[in-house]
This record gives sequence, C-alpha cells and structure tokens, in this order.
Amino acid sequence: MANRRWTPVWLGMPALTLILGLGLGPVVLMVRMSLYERTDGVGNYTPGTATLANYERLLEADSLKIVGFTLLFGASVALATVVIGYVLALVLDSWPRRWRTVGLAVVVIPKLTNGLATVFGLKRILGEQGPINSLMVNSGLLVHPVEFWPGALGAAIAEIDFILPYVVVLLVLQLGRIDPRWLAAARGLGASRTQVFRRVTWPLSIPGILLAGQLSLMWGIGSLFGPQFLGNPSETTISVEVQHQAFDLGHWPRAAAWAVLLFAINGMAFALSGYLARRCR
Amino acid sequence: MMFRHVAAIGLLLLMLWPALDAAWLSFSPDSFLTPPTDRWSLKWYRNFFDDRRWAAAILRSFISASASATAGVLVAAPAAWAVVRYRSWFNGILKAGMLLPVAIAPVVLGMGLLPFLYRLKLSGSPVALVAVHTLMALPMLFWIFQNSFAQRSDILEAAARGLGASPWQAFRLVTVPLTIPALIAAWICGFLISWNEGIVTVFLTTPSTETLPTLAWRQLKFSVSPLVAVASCLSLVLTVLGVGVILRLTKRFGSHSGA
Repeated sequence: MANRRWTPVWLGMPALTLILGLGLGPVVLMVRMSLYERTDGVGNYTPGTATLANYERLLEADSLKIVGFTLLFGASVALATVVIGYVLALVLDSWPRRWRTVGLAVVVIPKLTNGLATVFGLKRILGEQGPINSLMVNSGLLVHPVEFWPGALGAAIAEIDFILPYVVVLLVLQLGRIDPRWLAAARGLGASRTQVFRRVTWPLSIPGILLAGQLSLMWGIGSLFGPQFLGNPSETTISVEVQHQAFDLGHWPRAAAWAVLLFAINGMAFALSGYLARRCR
Repeated sequence: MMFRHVAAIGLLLLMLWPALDAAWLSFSPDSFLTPPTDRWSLKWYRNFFDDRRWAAAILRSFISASASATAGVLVAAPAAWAVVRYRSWFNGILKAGMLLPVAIAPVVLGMGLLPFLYRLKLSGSPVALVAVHTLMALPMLFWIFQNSFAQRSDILEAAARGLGASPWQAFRLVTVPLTIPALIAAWICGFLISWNEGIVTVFLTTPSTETLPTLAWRQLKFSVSPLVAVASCLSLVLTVLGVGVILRLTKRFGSHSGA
C-alpha cells in the first residue's frame, strides 16, 4: 500500500506549495525588511544594515494606542459579525428552499459590486445629513444626528458589512448539514424548541461558528478600508498605519515592523481563540 | 414568530442598501453627491466609458477573479479530499498550513509580496496576482470542500461499488453530483474574495495592471468621484450576468451527470 500512503501527499501538495511559497516567503522577507535602517530621501531602505529602532518605535505611547485600538476594534467587529450572521443564518435556514436561495443571493449581491462602492454608499447613508439621520431626527427619535463617521462606529459598521456575507454563507452551509430528521426526532421525543436548539442545532453549528469567528477576528484585526475611509484619524488600526508608513511616508522598514507585529498579533489571536473554543467545548 | 422573519428581511435590505444607493447616485447629473430625484443623467456613464482605465480594470478584475476561483477549486478540492479520505501524517501539516493564509493580514501579505515578487522577477505579473488571490481564498474553499466530502458520500460510493460500479463510475455518478453544491459555493466564494480584494492588490499592481478595487481605492483616496458609483453599478450587472451564466452551465452539467 505504498501507493496509498503517498496519495494524500500528491493531492495536498499543490495547496501546500502555494501556501508555503507565497505565504511564508513574504513573511520572512518582511522580518528582514523590518530590521533595515531607513534611507533618507527616495530609497526604501539601506541594504546591509541591522537595527531594532523600528521595533523600539512600536513601544511608544502613540503606537501602543494603535495596538490597543486594533485589538478592541477587531474583537468587537468579530463578535458583532458572528452574532448577527448566526441569527440571520438561522432564520434563512428555516425558510423554504426557494426563499433561502433568494436570501443568500441578497447577501452576496453587495459583494458583487465592489467593497469600495459600499464604502461610498455607506458614507452617504451614515452621513450627518444622510437618510438614516434625517429619518431619525425628523421623526423625533433623535434630537441631534448621530455622528457615525469619522469615528469607530462608522468604521465598524463598514467592516461588519464587508465580513457578514462570508459569515452568513459559511453558517448557512453549516446549518444545511444538519439532518432535519434529527430536529423532527427531537421534537417528537418531547423537546421544546429551545431544547432542540440547545441540544441539537447549537452543538452542530459549532464548527462553522468557530471558523466564522476566527475568520472574522483575523479580518477584523486586519481592518483597513473601514478605519481608513470612515474612521477617525486619531483612532487607526495597524493596517492603516502599515499602509500609511509604506505609501504616504515611504518608510518601508517601519511599515514592515508594524506588519510583523500585526502578523504576530493575528497568530496569537488565532491560537488563543482556538484554545478557548476547545476549552469551552 | 413573525418578528424574526421581518427582522431578517429588514437586515437583508440594510445589507443591500449601500450598493443600491451607489447605483442610484451613479445617475446623478451633479458633480457632488446629490442623489437624482427629478433629473436623471447618464453623464457619469459617458465619462466612465471615455476613460479607458475603468473598463479595462473591470475586465481585468473579472478575468483574475474567474481564474483564481477556478484555481482555488482545483487546489483546495484535492487537499480537502486528502484530509477527509486518508489517514496520513501529511494531514496535520496540511491542516496547519491552511491556517497560515488566515493569519496573514492582507496588508502584511501585500507588503511582503512586493519585494518577494520583485526578487522572483514577477512584479506586476497577472499570474502572480491570480496565485495570491487563490492563496487568500484557499482556507475558505478548503473548509467548504472538507465539509462537503465529510458528508458520508463514502457510504454511498461503497454502495455504488457494491452494485457493480467501477471506481471511476462511482466517482462520476455518486461523488461528483454530491459535490456540486459545494463546488458552486466554493467557486463563488473564490470569485468574490478576488473580486473584492483591493488591499494586497494595491501593493501588486501598477497603473497599467490595475483592477477595479485598486482603481476605485486610488480614486476614493483623493476625491469622492461618482465614477466609483458607476463602476459598482456596472460591475454588479456584469457579475450577476456572468455568475448567472456559470450557474446555469453548472446546473446543466450537474443534472446530466446526476441522470
């Protein structure tokens, strides 16, 4: 059975090659980049230098503020996305097949336009004179319009809007795997709706929720478009800072140091969330 | 019990709103963001088509998204098959490897890839862009296939074999039809990830190889141009048509092989 032993290797090799080649290579290069000194003027970095100055810069107060905000922002976005996504997926799953397809299509359609068109639309909708604020102020629900942006609230709404479709698709697929006969059986054996949910639906949704949660957490921590276009400049995420250092200031080594930090944070958040999920189970 | 359905429909409409709003604004006759109420105009559409960059970017985005979705399916499906159907020392490595693209934030990937591709003399290459988008979609596609393959189709396959089917027949007549929903879902997810990916892409494209998100990003960074709204409206029509055709084809293929 030597042949059989090697089959999975052949099947998985293309994926692993892609991951290690394009995923690990850049990370290694970036670690090296973060240790260079900056060249004054046009050049990106000075070859042959090695310094920890770029990392020391990350320990200053304003840098730590960015790190703290990134973590808080990512965690809140992930939590909100998973809760909203799971509830929506549960309702969609209860719909007849045809309507579920329509619902999923509606979830996916905004993703077909372009993430930035969404930013464009959101900016107007959430604006001070936008439809939401005028509706609430005119109807007397609010005295003053809510300032969604520039601010963390608008940025978070944009990021949730970006991530939610993926989470809903994943969770609807996961819920679709649950055999409806089990639910019927549980009901037939006298379980209440709540009990059916707690004892059958919930445990069987956990793998999907775990994946959706980790994906949202990674994407939330790595948020760029939301904070950049709707956020407050004094409250930025690490991604915005990386982009700012690299493109606006041309300080590649410092941008790389930020990027290495972001990679480390994502890795730790990933491991921690996986560990907690296993403990809770 | 009615409430949850109303709330879900409301949420779905909310998710649709920004895209619809952008579409509405694209017909504005003004240069600033006022929605058209009495006067509608195709002015921005004319400007859009006069500027070659936009149409080229939409086409480029569509090709790279289709290519990376297809590549993603071709790479992720065998890997998921290996993990589900074989017990091997390799599975652990594969599963751990699948976590890596998730843990690399797009900005980090883009920053690292720029010098990396430069060293490989691949900067600006469309093939590299497609490969990177495939990499980013891989974990999600892998999960979708893994989930689908684990659905005990092995029992049905064994049944088909027991009834006298050859391994190839069992694969073609049992496994493939059972995999079609996952195949469609995976392809669409791969397409969407590439179609919307603007962060890594911004690092990897030059003005002559720009995709829709990067062009829109550069535009939005400096001014709020209604051209972005036009682009989103047109790309919606284009992708709905494109995905519709593909779904129709897959369905036809699915019903044939299932018959």
